[in-house]
Amino acid sequence: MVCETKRSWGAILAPYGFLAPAVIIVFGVLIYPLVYAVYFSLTDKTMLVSAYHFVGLGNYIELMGDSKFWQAFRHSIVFALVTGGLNLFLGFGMALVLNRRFRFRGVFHTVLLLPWVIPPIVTGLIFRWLYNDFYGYLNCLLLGVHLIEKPILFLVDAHYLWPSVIIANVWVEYPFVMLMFMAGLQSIDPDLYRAAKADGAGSMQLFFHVTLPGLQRVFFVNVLLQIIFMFKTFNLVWILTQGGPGGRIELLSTLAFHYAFEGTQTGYGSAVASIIFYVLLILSCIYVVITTRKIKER
Amino acid sequence: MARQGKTSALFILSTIVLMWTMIFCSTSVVHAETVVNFSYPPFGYSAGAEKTFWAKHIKAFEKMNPGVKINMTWESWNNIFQKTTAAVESGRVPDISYNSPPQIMPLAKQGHIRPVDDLIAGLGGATIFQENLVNQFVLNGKTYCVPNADANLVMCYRKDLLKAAGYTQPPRTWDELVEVAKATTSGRVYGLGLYLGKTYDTRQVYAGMMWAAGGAMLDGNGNVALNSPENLTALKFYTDLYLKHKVVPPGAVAWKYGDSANIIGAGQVAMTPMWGGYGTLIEEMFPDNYKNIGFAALPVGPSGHSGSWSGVGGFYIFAKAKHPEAGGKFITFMSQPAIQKEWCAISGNVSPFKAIAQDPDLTRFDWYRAMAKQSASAIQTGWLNSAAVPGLEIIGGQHVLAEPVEDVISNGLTPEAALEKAHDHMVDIMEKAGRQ
Repeated sequence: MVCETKRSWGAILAPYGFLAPAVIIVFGVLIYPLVYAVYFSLTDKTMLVSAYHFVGLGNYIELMGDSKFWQAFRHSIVFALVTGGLNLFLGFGMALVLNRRFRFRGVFHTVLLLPWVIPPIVTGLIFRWLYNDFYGYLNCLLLGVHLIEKPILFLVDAHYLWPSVIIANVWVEYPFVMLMFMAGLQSIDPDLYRAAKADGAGSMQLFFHVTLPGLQRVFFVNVLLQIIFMFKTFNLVWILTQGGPGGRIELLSTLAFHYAFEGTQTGYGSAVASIIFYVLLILSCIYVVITTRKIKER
Repeated sequence: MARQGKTSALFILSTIVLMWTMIFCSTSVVHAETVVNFSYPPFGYSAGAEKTFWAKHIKAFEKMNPGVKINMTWESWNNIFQKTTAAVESGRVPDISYNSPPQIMPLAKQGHIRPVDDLIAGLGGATIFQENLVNQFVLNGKTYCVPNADANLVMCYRKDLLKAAGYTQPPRTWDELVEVAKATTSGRVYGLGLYLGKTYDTRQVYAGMMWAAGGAMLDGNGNVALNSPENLTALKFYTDLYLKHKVVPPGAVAWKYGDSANIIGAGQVAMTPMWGGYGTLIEEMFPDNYKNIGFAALPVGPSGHSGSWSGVGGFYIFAKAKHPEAGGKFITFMSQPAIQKEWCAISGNVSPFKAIAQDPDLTRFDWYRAMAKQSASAIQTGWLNSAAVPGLEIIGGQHVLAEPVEDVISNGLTPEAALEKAHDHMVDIMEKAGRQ
């Protein structure tokens, strides 16, 4: 009995010990600044002045009347839905293709993953170069084959701005979705396919009755993660456009940066950032609740 | 299981002991001498030359001052502001740093940095500096920074493109600017590279034009005066270059810092206002074309003088510095004439020291001559010396001065409406900041 108690102490302490560094880091670099940001959102803090006052919900009330905020909010929703949707579509399609056996599949796999591995700053600069009207590769190509007579202003013209930024984001983000779907596809029991084939199922029936149901959970996770990721997108949009001419592609994340860092209005900018956090918190709660329920069902 | 638990506990304990041992050892080493922490944002035109410069002179200083070590950390101009603020709030500041008035003076006003009048007296007194530069660091009769460099925007132009259009000199007035820009605009080559989006560059060029038109951000009483007729003249001139004269590339709406330099190097614009410091880099950037690139003072506006955004920078000492004396010694060392001359040639700055500003070793560069011509006269934007006025730092950061340009170019507002909107925005910011 004594021996059993000793064994239990060791077993009980070990996981906490291993988890402690990670938990401490999460608290240090995430929870603490997050709480601080939410706190600042309730003050009139500016970056250069140490003194500040508690203003309650003043910043949030002011935001409700700020047309730039509502414009950025709309943009963020549209951006999350369109980019997230395209990521899902492309990621799923590519996963289906790469799940088949063909020569050089490994090479294609690696090449398709590359955009996800490249740092966003590099991707941003690549696309800025691609889209440039003077020395951009894309304009050179289109002019060279006489498809256009004058360069397209990809990051200026209202017709091209959104598609240009979305394409760059999809190029970076879809490999992650693809990886998730590939993992999902490989977890489907091959016996299900064999059994369905034995029952005379065709490829469409296999797809709709075996593949899709088998990927249901992966689909759900991907959809939610994509909405979360795309709603808080910052890096690439910032590097490419900083919100675009006249704020045409200003997202909540870029607006928060404009206010908090460039404008030095820490309190007001924190309120914008906190709203992003509240939205993501709600989405994350939904994610956690539903995935937990799914796990229990299994 | 028990063995596993013990092993885990032992592993964690050893890691903690090892970490603390490392921390203890490293702090012991550091505390063996006087370490002056120096936070510095590089100008970055020729980063390699700049690093070599600092390494050489820090080594020389340390040799002259045994027991003193300069621990220099390089910060980006983009985030030194945020890092300094965070350092001040945490109470763990470096000993000395380097920046410009909009960042330094609010810190001075709040007592976070100490006056350096003693250092300036040791160097020969405030009169050895160009008055309009050193005055930007004065608050309530005390000086908070030892000026070290002054940069401003000049007109960069392509000699070959101007010559092809029949001009041997860059434009000297606004009228000439329009004329030359029109003459050099042909096909895919545009006469003038001008930032048109909500960027630092846009506000800097527009602020210069405001000044050249006789305008300013604040009137003599410190009230917002953005909607003045002079500023409107400047805004109309700025936006007409794109909308009416069509001498600016349409893609300039999305230009970011550095784009104008690349585009003039590629010969796709004939002229563009840019930081004179680029002159130090132009040969490296465009080895085939650099001889075709010239620099001149910005054209004169309706006021009878030109206007350029000016950025004077220098050393300052934090109030909570651990080694202010050693930091001061280093600042004095770096302010020696020979080092100043070398520094200006490397960093692309005009010397704030009167005795050096027009030194022939420096004025042999045309980028330096253009900058020095503007720096020595009083054609600043006229508001940086009010950096301690609450709200001005917000206005700088929020691109309030770029907003009217963007509103006219991209949002279809009239110059009058755009300027009025920016004026109201500025008043709002100043009022809120004043209440703090």
